Amino acid sequence: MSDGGIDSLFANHGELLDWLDVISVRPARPSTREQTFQRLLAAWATSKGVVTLRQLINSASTGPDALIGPIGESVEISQELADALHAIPDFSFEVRRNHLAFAYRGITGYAAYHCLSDEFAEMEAAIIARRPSTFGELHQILRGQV
Amino acid sequence: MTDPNRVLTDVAKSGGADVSKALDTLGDISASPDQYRNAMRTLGGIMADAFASMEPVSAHTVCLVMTVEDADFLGSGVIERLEKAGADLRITCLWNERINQKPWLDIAPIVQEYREPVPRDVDYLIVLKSIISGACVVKTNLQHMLEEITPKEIHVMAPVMLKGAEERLGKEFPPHIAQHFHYWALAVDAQKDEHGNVFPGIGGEVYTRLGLGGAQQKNAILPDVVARRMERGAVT
Repeated sequence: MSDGGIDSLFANHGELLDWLDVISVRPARPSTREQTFQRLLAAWATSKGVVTLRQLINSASTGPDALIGPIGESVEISQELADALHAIPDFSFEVRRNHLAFAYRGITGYAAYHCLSDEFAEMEAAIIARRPSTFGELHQILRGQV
Repeated sequence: MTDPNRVLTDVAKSGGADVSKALDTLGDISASPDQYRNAMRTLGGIMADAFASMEPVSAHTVCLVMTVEDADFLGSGVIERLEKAGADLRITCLWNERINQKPWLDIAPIVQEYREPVPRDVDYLIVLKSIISGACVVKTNLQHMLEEITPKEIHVMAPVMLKGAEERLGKEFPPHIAQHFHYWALAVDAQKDEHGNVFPGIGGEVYTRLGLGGAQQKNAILPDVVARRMERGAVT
């Protein structure tokens, strides 16, 4: 939509869009495809030496932008964490490409770090230990302020 | 006296002395977070008053899109006055994560969103931001909304804009959309300082001036205005 270069690249390479949709955490839409592509470019530009595609994607998946899912076995969150999250009325969640996506009374969002990361493990430990009773308490932890 | 680097707009001139005072507070690095917050609130109210005096918002649906850092201050000022003017106001609050690791890479993906229901053909879409410089965040947020709604009018509102921001933002959209953008700014500044901040602008990074911490911390905030509207069931 915005950048002529990316627009023409996308228009001429439909397979690229399919591929971006495969690795993206977000619903397929032009703005997130463009951001996902640029995030990958940034990971490539900051990489050193020869990197595999897996390394590139995993590097681009490190938070807190929640654009790209890391390559790895699909995980489910622990029952303990699920129980703590279910305790907050109206809060719902799902794991999407190894990212925790959530919804609460008009808010939709993503945890700051993906489920395979050390930062997510810290968030999980904090939620289980503190058992937040309101979305406000939980929100800070989900955004990585443990 | 107005900084020679700054031009006040007609909207600012209609707001009187309060505009200059509030803009000066933003530029004053010794101003406390409370003073800064109040200045933002004042400027939001002034812009909303100017908007409501020119547009028949009463009984019309207005979708106000704002960032998390602006919501309780600049945003609250706008909300209060638009509701007073009789607008049927629906707010969207967006949490943007800024990524600018390289000179050519500047993206602001939305990591969280609060959205009140908006008719697809909403009467007015207002995208609000404390300052528009490179226009990356405004572009992202506007693009995000326009993928879902087709507003009859699109308004971009900011107390301070960097000279040329209108053209930069317009170039990001097809001409048939960009030509319908209406801008509501109070001051247009011509320069940036050595840190890349617009000068005098809004006195540096808005998160820290508001007392919200840095770019990471501000995204952990749940604005009071959002919490209040959630509790009263604005999304049902």
